[in-house]
Amino acid sequence: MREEADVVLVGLGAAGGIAAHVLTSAGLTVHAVEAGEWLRNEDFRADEINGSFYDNIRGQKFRRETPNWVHPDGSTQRATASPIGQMVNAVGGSSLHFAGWSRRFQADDFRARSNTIDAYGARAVSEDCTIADWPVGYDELEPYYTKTENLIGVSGVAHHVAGLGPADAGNPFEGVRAGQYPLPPMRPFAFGERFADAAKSLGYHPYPPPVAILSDDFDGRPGCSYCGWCLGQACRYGSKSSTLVTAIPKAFATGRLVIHSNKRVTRVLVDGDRAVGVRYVDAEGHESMIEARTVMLGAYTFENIRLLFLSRDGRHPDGLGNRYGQLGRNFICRQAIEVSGFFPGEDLQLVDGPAGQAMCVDDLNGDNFDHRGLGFVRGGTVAVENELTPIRAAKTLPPWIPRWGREYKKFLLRHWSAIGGLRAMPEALPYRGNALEVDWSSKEDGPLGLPRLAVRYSMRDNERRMRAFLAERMLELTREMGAAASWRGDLGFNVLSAHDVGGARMGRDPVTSVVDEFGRVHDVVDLYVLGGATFPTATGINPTLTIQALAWRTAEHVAGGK
Amino acid sequence: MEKSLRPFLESIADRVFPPDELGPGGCDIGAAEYVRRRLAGPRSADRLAVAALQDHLDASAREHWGAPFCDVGAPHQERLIEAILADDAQADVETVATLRLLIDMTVEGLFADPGHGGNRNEAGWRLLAGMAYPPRAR
Repeated sequence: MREEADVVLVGLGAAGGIAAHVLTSAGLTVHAVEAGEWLRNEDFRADEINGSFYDNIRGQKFRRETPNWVHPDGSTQRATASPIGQMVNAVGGSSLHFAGWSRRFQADDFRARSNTIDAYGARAVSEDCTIADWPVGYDELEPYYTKTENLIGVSGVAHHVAGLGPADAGNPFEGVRAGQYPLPPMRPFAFGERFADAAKSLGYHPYPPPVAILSDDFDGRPGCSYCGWCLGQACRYGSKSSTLVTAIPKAFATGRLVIHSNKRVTRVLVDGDRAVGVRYVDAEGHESMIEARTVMLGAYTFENIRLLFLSRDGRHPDGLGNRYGQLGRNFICRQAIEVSGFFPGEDLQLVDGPAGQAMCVDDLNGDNFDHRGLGFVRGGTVAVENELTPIRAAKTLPPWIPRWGREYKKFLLRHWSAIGGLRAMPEALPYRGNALEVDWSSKEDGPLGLPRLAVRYSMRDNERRMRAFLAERMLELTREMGAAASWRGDLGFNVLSAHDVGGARMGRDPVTSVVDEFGRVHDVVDLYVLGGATFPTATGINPTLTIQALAWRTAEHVAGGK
Repeated sequence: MEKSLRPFLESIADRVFPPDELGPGGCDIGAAEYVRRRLAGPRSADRLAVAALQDHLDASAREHWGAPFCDVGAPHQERLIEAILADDAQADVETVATLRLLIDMTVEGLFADPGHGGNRNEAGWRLLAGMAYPPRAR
């Protein structure tokens, strides 16, 4: 069977959903092929075990094809494992289960290399580090941030709206905005207020981060009920602004979006140097094709890169976008840092709302502070979140408390509400040797048996020093908050996080990058990559809103060119 | 015919979360049933390792007290678990990892949604006073 479309989208998640909306609004017909199911709000149910941190029942595809980890020197090889729920395979993708944080990158992030060298000299960047400036800047992306926020419904408080000057609110490190947020921030929560007080007394600038959760009714959807079952769960009320309940229904309503759920794309079809469609397999194993004038890869970083490798042909023997051996290079994995505090005799009230209720400081991010004498460049953001669910409460205890037996039971029942944590999102830099490649000898589980990716990765000194520095600041913060004891309890280093980016680097020079500033693959006409795979750097900020703003810009570019 | 893990999982459930004056133990809360279902379903890959752990604990219990793990009583059971988890333990890596996994699953069985077999009548949730469960809009 053959079908035809203006654009075929591979993956209908956070990025693909936005692209589908923009393309169909411009009159183009779009076929979206999504490996997961097409679910409705009524299908979702608060359940810690079925959520992303345990069974991740919506992420079975990813679990079957988890990449293997290889140390760059070849010394260690084993299956990767994510310390947290990796992703959702479904219409709406991981925007269904994420905590909702929708922050813009700083203007500084788009000039990470230049700003670092300008401030500290070329020697501040190690020889093996491939940190780069982005081919787009904050000002070029600002209109697309604004459009995305206004479409999906983001709740936050602005610091600097153009024409109004800086306000005594919001995040002072956020770039100048065209307008206010469409919705006010989420309501305050006790632990966040406590963190804000401590942060202020240490000279930081706390703010409630903007989130893709509705603080009030918006566009026919109800404001958040603060049920507190949100992180790693999909919202059964439609209050989380996933693409399933925002961009995708709008695209579908045009009559120009066809959704092929439960179907897996196995190959991008190329005629000469032009992408002409995709081949896919349905749940029964039947193969079909969709012909299209434009192909967009909107899967997660790993599947996007894998498909480019697997679609190799005589003209592209090493994979699409790999003429100069850049495909898979500059892969970055960012690992969270966790510090917890024990506040004996207190009830921190972490059960009365979603993780999207949060408080954050950006003072230690990017180049927002003087790095002279510290031995590392760049930084990260530090935050607290609401939302404590029972199994997490039962497993998050001080290191000196046994994990079983009478002492465990006694401590848990008495003190479960007296423990609260801080989490940092530290930037990790790109390096030579850290890369994604195909492991042709290792097949994914299941009938298709496609080769898995191998992740070549090791943590470097800059990141180790940055993590130690941030952990010290976090321990200071917990003491300032009044913790009787605090400890670092990282989830454990691994090579997967929820923010695996790079591998199809965006850049102007085809010799050192895979796609251009619009996500267009340099060596294949009409083939685009959406998503974090195109990021030149990881930043210390959640990637989703930037992924969506870039997808909007790419889709507008494609629609304008047709 | 594979021997039933049930009595072993019940013993473990009560050692992880002992019945005492603070409230019901892991077995009454249903944690063993939760683990049994996990090992028959989504975690079936770990079933053999758990069976090997039981064999290991049974052998140790017989060596010291002449009876299988389930029959030697709580204090002896605790000593055997402690021996595996001690920092200077002689137990092999696999045995330690399996015991940790089993403890982890048992804890899940105390507080998971009752639909998974544990947390019977929400007995686990009710022990965490102040948590508003089951989850609902407020």
